[in-house]
Amino acid sequence: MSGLRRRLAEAWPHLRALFIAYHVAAVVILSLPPPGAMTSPALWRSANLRADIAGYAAALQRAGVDVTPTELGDRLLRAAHGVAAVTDALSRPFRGYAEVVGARQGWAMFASPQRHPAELHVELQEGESWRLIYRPHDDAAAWRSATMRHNRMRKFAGRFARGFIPKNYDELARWLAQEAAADHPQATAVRVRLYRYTSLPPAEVREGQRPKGRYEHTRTFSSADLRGPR
Amino acid sequence: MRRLRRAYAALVAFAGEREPAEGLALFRIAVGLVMLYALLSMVVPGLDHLLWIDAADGGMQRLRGDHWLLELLGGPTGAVMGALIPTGILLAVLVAAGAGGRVTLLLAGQVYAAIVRANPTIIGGYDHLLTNALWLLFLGGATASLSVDARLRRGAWRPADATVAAWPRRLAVFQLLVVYTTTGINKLGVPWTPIGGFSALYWVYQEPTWRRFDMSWTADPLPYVLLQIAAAVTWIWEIGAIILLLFFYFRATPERPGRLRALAQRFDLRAGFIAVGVVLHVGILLTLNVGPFSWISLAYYLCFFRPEELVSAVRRLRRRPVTGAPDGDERAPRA
Repeated sequence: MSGLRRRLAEAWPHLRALFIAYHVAAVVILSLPPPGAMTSPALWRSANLRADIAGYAAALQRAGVDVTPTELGDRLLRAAHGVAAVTDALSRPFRGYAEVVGARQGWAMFASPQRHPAELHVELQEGESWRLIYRPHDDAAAWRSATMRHNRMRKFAGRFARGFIPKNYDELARWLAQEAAADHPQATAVRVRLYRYTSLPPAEVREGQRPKGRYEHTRTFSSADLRGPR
Repeated sequence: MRRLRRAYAALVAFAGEREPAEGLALFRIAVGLVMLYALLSMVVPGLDHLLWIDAADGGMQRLRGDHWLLELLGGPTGAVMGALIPTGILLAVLVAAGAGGRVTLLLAGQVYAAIVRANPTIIGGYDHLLTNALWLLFLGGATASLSVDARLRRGAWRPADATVAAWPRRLAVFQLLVVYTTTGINKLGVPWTPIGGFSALYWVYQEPTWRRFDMSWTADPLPYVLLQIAAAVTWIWEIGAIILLLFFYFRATPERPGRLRALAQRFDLRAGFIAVGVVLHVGILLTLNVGPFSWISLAYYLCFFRPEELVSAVRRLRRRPVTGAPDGDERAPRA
C-alpha cells in the first residue's frame, strides 16, 4: 500500500501538469465558434449576416475582386462547413469534461450588432380599438416593463430578431397574453406582435427620422379563453 | 525533442509553484458575491419561477434542462427548482464566506450550472464565467485564507503561512484573456471593422435589446466619433488581449535576453490593459443591461495581481490617513 502511495506521490506532479495542459487545450478549442453556430440556417438567413456579407463583397469589389454577395455567401458557407467539421472533431475530447465540470466556453458577444431589431409589442382590445400597453423603452406603454427589462428577459426577447424559434415565441406570447388579460379585465382580446425595422444611420437620426417597420408573427388571444383554466 | 522535454519540465515546475493564499481567497469572495447577485436578481422579482420552472408547474415554457444533475433529479419541476435555487443561494453565501472547503466550491459550481441550464435559451456569458471560476476555485482549494474554514482550522481568518497552488489563479487569467481574444475574433460583423467605419457601438445603442435608455443622441457628430474610437479600441484590445501572456512570460524569465523582455521588466503592461478593461466594463455597466457580466469579469481582474501585490494594496489603503491621523498598526498607543 505504501508502495502505491509512493508511486502516486511521484506521479502526481506529472499528472497535475498533464491535467493543466488538458484544461488549457479545452479552454482554447471550446472557445472556437461551435459548429452548430457557424452553420445554423437561421443565422445564414438573417438580415444581419446578409448585410455583413454584402459589406464585405462591396469592399472586395472596390479592391478589384469580382464577387457578388451571393457568390461570397456561398463560398463562406462552404468554408464554414469545412471549419465546423474540424472544430467538431477537435472539440470532441473536451466537450464531456467541460459539461461536467462547468468549464463550457462560447464567447460570441456582440459579434455582429443587430441592425434589424424586432420589438415585442403587447396590445389590448378595448371595444373596437387596440391599445398598446407594452413596448420597450416607452414610458407610455410600460406594462410589466420591470420584468421585461431584466437581462434574461432581454436575452429571451432579443433572440427573436436573430433566430426566430416559434416554440419560444409562442410560449412568451401566451404568457404575456394571460398576464395582460388578468391585469386588464376590461380587455376582450390581447395581441402580441413583433415590430421589425431597420435601425437608421446617424445622418437620418440627426434629421429626426424615425425607423419605419412592419409587424410580423402576430398572435391574438381571446381574453375569455385566457381567463379559463390555465 | 530536447525542446519538448524542456517545455514539459517547465510545465511540471510551473504546476508545482505555490503562493500566498490571499489572492485566490479574494477572487473566491468576489465570485461568491457575484453568484449571490446573479441568483437573487432572479429570485427577488419572481423571475426564477417564470423562467427556470417547467410550464407544468407554473413556469412560462416547457423546459427539460440539459445538466446531468437536473436530469438525475427529474428535470426543472417546481419541487426540484424549489430545492436547487435556495441551495444555490446558500452555497453562494458559503463560497463568499469560505466555509465548507472544496466540497462547497464544487457543489456551488454544479448547482449553479444546474439552475441556469434549466433554461439554456437565456444563459449568458457571465454564467459560463461563473462556473469556470468556481471550478478553478475548487481546484485551488480557495478557502485556505480569509475564510471561516481558516478561522476554524487554523484559529485565524488569515493564517500567516497559508499557501495555495499558483496555477489556478494563473488559469483564471488565461481564461479571461481567452474570453477577450475569442470575443474579438468572433466580431466579424462589418461594423466592427474599418470597412464598416467602426460603427458597431453606434448600432448596439440603436437597438432596444440591451441599452438601458434612449441612446439616439449618439448619432450626433461628437458622440458618434467617440463611439467609433471606442469600437476600434475595444476590437483591437480584445483581439490583442492574449498578448498579455507574453508579458507574464517575460516577467517570469528576466534572466533571458531580448529587448521586449527588458521592456517588460521596466513597464507594467498590465496597467494599461486593466485601465482599458475597467473603462470598457464600467461603460457597459452604465449603458447596457447585460446582467452581472461586468462584475464577474472585474472579479477575474483580481487574478492579474500576485497575492503580495493585493495584500500590499489593501495595506496601503488601510494606512491612508482619512483625517490626517495615522490608522491601524501605526496608531500611537492610547494613553
